[in-house]
Amino acid sequence: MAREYERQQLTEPVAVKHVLNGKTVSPQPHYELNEADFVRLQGGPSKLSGFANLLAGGVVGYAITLYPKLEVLMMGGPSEFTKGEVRTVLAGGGVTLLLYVVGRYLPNDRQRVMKKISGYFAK
Amino acid sequence: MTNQFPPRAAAPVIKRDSLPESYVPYRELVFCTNRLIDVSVIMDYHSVVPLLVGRGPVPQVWLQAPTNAQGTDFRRLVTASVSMQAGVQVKADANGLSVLVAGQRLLHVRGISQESAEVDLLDLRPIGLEVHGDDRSLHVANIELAFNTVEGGGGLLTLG
Repeated sequence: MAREYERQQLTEPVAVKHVLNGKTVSPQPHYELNEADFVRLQGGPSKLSGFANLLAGGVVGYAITLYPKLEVLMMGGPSEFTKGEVRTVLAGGGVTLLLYVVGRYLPNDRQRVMKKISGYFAK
Repeated sequence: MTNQFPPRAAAPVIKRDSLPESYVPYRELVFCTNRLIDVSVIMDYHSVVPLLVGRGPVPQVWLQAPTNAQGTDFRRLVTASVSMQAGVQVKADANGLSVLVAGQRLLHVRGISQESAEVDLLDLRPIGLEVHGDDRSLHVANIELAFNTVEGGGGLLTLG
């Protein structure tokens, strides 16, 4: 039953309990994220760039083992690199780079969702 | 890099004992039909002051809202009729000032004279407080107030 105060001279403030309705300040409407999109986001970066990272690790690791031969070359000695070693490093580097580029620019689900979210908040 | 900039401090919460220096209450404020004469604080929630309407070239409004469902913390939405947050708009019109949140009008103040003004539309429900009214009456939770008069003292409402 509602209490009413009408045409009264109030001498002290009217005390009212339970005025909070549970809503809180979020002036910007929330972005509605559905579960499918959430799963896509959780998937992380594309599998391709993950594989590129893995390959890059291998190539760099291999290149480091060739350092003693590089040192000889830097000291003015004759090159001890075999053709196979050079080809491995160059080919590995090339494929890694290619995978990075493709992984970066090939549209994937995660990027599509991220783009949608960025667009929403840029408004 | 030795040091990072500290995060920008949020405006302090306005409480009954820490009203803004630039706030000058109206001699008479009609608050959804209720006449407040020489009233400094219209209402408070555990000493936090959610709304102030003060004198100025255009009415000066301060608005704060709870940031959690328990009401343990409040955030400034409007300071001296300037929006403090994205999504909160303060619009002046021919006879007063409106505050809108996400496009919804929460408040309209009509300046009557240097000494008096009228709040003829109020709806704090979207920001967490069951307080709303218009030019017919004021509703606070299950209580209705209309055409009452308050002079000085502790204000119109104590919310809990």
